[in-house]
Amino acid sequence: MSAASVILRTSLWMKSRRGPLVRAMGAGRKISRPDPRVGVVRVAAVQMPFSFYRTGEAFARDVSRLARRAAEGGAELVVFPEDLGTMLLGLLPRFERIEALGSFDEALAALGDGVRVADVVELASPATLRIYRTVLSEVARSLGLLVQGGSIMVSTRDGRTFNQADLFGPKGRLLTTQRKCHLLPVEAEWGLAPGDDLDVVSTPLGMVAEPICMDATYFETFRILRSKGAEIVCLPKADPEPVENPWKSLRGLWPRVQESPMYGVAAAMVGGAMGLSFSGHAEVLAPLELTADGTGILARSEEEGEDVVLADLDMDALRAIRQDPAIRPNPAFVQAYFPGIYQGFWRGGAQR
Amino acid sequence: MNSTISEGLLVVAFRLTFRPVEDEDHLVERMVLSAQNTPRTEGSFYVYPGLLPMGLLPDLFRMEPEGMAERVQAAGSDLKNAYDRLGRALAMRLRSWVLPGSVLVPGETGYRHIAAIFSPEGEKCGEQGQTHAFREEIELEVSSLVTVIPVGGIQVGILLGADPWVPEVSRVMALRGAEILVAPLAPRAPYTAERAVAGLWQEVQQNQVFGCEAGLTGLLFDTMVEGKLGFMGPCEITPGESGFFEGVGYQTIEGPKATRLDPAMLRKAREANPLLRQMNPGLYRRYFPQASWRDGP
Repeated sequence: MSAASVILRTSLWMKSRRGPLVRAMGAGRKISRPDPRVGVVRVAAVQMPFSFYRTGEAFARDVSRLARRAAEGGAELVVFPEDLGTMLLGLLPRFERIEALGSFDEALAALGDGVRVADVVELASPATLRIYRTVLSEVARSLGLLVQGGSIMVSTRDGRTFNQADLFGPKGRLLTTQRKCHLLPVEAEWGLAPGDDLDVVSTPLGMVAEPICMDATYFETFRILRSKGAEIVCLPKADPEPVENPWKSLRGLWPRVQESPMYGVAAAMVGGAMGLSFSGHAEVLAPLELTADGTGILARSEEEGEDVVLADLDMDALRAIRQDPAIRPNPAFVQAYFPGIYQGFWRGGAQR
Repeated sequence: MNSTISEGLLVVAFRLTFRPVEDEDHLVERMVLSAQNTPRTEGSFYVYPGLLPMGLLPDLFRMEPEGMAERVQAAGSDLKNAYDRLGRALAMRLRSWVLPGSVLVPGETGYRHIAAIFSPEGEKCGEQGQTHAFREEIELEVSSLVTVIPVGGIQVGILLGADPWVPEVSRVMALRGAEILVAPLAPRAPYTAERAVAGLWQEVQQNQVFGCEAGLTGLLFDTMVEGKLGFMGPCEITPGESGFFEGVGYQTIEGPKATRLDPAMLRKAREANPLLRQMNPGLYRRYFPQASWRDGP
């Protein structure tokens, strides 16, 4: 590692100290919240405009404010959007100059030939991950919430970079880290690697999973999660579409919770920066038969900017429909074709 | 002439009301007549609603047996043979490929639900059985095989009954080369827009193929059915990015509709958004096939 890199990392590390972050959150302030109902889990999905943070304290204030809003609404689980931690790349020195270049590609080019997002993340992520985890853990602990922390790009010691999500318990403990298993083509170009497993965590609220955005494009993700018992799927997302198309928005989480009955809590990154645009809405989804109007939507933000949407999940009703599925499985059929059907697509095989 | 219009396969699909008929000739006439107001291009592909040919055996349903299996068993091979004759006659009359709806035929102890495609020369090109049963289809004997059938140079998969709501079926068909998934359906009422969009439309999106749904409506003996009609494609290549051709959403009035489906368009959609290339087979291999039916630890 070059001397410049060491100086840069040290400088960032200094910005990630716990004390100022916790003080910025004002964690000691009491909140009033409604009592939980037996058999019902109230969840919150955050919708948040993308912007690069220049300080960890500003990040801590925003995350804390949104989580507090969820808690005051009675939520026991709050879900943040994909790339929540990516916004901490704004801590990089002279980031305002990079941002002024206008596009991600131009910014990377300005940093040097062949520099990829993964290279930038490798430098920054020891500090950004520290801030991210300090803030989310403290939010979870101080509010007594289950907190799904959106996602953050992180480099590992073996040089790989992942888009990963953390889930914190109500005492602030890190319960699990989930790596994104299905990348957007642009993420592959950025040098990110896909995760290779999916986790489901037993919590007092139910069995919880946290795949990330594109993972919901593939039914296989949700079949695996269901087989591991998932009942509530938190989905941090940042759809890279300048304008939301209502039909395209029916292609991710909504069909997945129909195919593999479970609840889906989607938090959306909106807005954009440096040529990146995100669209979509925070929403809470359910199997059609568990929504009064048959739409599969329990709650959906009507705002274009920041918002927190709340919905109640009837866990007993979900368990009842899973006991008696509308379509009977056919193990002989699946055994005849799976997993061999993927053979031609093994490790990026050509699409037919 | 715009070359994109003349390429691909002209597909004609129907939304029709169930009616008992006197014999096969009457049914052929009704089905040909139904196609009257569509472009009459030889070498097209006609897709009729699920269970439409069951009208050939009205007596069967005047019986009072205990269940569907007993009814179908009573008909023996009559309906299967009639279905094959119907398909051959219709294909030759229309000089096109024809999927003449679907039928229930006797199984070993229960019944099976099948559909077939016939060539313009009247030959049966391939047959598909329903692979997954709805909860209430207790006596249905499901198939465990998937067939992809060539139709005018384009590969076609057939989804019956519950199959449009089982993503494994469409995935197998798509990875085996299917470019069009056709669903001749007779779904029980109420068949809401949400229920429909959760079916074939989703399979079209997640596999980047074309879809064609043909629906039976009316009273099918003692069950009200409420089929719809729609042509689908990946959002990226359809008007308004709706995932539908020939009008946004499903058609809910009776009649035929035709559209031309060109696989070159699919290739464009797949290049722009290479969904299947971004799959994670290493992950799937660890958990499938059990993940398809195991429901929690």
